[in-house]
Amino acid sequence: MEITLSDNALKTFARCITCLARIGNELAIQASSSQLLFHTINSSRSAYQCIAFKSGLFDAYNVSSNSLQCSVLLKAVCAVLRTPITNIDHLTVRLPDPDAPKVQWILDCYNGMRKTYWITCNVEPDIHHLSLDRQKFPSNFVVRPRDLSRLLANFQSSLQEITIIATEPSSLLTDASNEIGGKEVELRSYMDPTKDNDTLLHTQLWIDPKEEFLQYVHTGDPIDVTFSVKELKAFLSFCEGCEVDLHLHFEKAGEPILMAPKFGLEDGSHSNFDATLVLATMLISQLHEGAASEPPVGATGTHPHTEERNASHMLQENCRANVSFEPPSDHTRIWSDLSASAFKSISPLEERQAQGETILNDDGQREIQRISTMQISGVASVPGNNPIDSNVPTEKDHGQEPQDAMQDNGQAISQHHRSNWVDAEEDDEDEQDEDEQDIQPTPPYYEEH
Amino acid sequence: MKFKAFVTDNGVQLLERRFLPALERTGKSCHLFLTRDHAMFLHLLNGDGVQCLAQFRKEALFHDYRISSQNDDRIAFALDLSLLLRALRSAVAVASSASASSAPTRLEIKLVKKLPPNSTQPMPYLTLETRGYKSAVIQDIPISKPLSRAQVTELQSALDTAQDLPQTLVQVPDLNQLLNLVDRMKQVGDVVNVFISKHGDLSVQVSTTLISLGAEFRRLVVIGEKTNAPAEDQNLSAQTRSSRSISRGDGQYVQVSVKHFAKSLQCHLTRPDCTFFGIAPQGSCLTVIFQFFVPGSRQTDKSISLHCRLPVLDPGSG
Repeated sequence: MEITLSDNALKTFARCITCLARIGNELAIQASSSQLLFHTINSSRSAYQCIAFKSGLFDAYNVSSNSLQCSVLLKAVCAVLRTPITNIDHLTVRLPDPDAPKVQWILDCYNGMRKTYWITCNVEPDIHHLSLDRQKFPSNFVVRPRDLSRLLANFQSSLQEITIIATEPSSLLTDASNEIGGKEVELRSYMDPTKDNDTLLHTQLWIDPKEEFLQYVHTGDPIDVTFSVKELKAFLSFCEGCEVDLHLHFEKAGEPILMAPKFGLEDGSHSNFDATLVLATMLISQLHEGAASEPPVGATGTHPHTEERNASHMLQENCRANVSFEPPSDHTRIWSDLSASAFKSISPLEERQAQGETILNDDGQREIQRISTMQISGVASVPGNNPIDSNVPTEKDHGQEPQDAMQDNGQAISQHHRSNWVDAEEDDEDEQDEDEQDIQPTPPYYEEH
Repeated sequence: MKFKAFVTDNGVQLLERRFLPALERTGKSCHLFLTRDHAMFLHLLNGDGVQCLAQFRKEALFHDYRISSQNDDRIAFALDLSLLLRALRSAVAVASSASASSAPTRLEIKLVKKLPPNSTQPMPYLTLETRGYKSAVIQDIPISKPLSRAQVTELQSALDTAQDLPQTLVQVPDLNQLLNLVDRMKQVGDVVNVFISKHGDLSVQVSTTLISLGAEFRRLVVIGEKTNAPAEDQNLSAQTRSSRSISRGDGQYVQVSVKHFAKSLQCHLTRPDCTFFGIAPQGSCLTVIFQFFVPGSRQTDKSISLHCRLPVLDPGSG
């Protein structure tokens, strides 16, 4: 793979890198004949960003194989782009072959200097895919970045999470005597009950969407979503830099929200790139303040809650198995639940959940791989899916749970998701190859010294 | 206890643009002390730090001022100044959009007790509430529990003590010049020597074993006890004149922390019209007084007062 870009395309590219670096630590790169995909996910797996660059953005775009992927640390890419963009004539990114251990980043500067960086690819790329159809979110709004910045300035700058409450637009004229009449959207600072809030400013801001938003769509009962402010601000800066409006799609508490730039045309077909940011939201709705616990549910509702708790428990197990895994907030849904019944439904909402399941599958698969690696370090020939070391029964027990979960899912998922399973196996093969390559270069390097 | 009022446009100007930014730099949190007639922002009970008192007659900041308590209608609590400033700026921004519709600006401030989400313990808040054409906002600023009767008495006592003024005050004509000097002094040492005489001398100096940096202001305007400079001292060095003045009893000398001194000068953000320095009797503290004129006149605005008291590091020789 070899790509080259310059001028405004380079500025756009740099803005994308800056935004990605504010979301996560690892940059997943996937290249196909028509587009280049950049992904990242934050350590708590509550924020996922994907940016797609069409081949037309680049001065030169050459991808030799049908599909190519690797990952690098975002801080390394940021170091490359520390050179002022105005000094760079063009940037070339080169991956000599699909299994190359390093990615070349070459800066040709106006002053005649050429800077070449080799960034090491991560041994175990953390590739995620999350696809949500933005057309299927029932509610959304479009806002100018500077307007949203002004609105957020009402809140304490250190605010961690924010709640947006949406109500149905009123067709009645605004009643001047009504304090919040005609202001159908509320932005509220979220007070985490598990933290000490004695020093936090509590803000409630009601806004008139007809005045503050370019577009506002919501019908039916009031709904709320609570999500991280940090990632919102990162994406907001990105949209402002690109001189586009911000489009935010949401559904209800506990469901993910999706943000995207709003280009001039509806389908954005004229743009050479697109970006989406998906954020997890707090499970508990803020609309029922004062409730000591979750509202009582009918018998048919009990099972989903149980599944959610099981999912949380499984993730906790993963946390114990892998010290680098940051435990997720108990108040944040990790994209999807493990309810088998969810996959039997054909409704759009359930389909979206099913698609979100992909991340969990990938994560579980990698978790097994990591556990296997710990158990059978140095024995590359043993298949990763079959840990057999009886000396560590505890870890073995932990490792089995994700596997069982995936087996259950395998029985229920559609043909489309079965193919995802196959892709995961292919990833295993790639990882094994990478392990072998990592062993070989050691002796020659030592000999050089 | 109850407190409720509306912040006037003048009050917004005073607080949001002048006094709160300055007070925030003096100390992160302070006490807001409300009485029937006054609202006071006090840095008084902060140990060995800079004491700062900003006192406003209620009409300077509010209209429809209502207060009641079982302690002679006095209410005091601690709050984070940065949060108050953020909340006030937010409310001002929301309210300013109302000007387009020519509606009167109403920025309400009140003391409330609210139950935070998922909590069973009500908490006190100082709440700002306003609405504009595009939006409406409620800002709940967390505050300490209101001070008890005994604590209010203690605060009042500290306030009464802090109101004592030095016998002699000298006026600094150019506060910016002094600010620039103090900024450079911070690079030299930690202790500043301050000398003030009754005939209008003010000198500030930082000395270390290798370098001394300071400045002397002479023939400044004096308020209070005043003497004429001896003719025979005119051609002597500043240090000698200071020593002789202290010997005669018409001058005093104290040492204060450079950090405290610089911190007190942050009150320049309040845009005072006059600034005075004085040393309290027995050299107990260095007092800095900021005076404000009624807009458009040279008359002192008695509805506003602001002064700082800096602890001394070594008893003065006076």
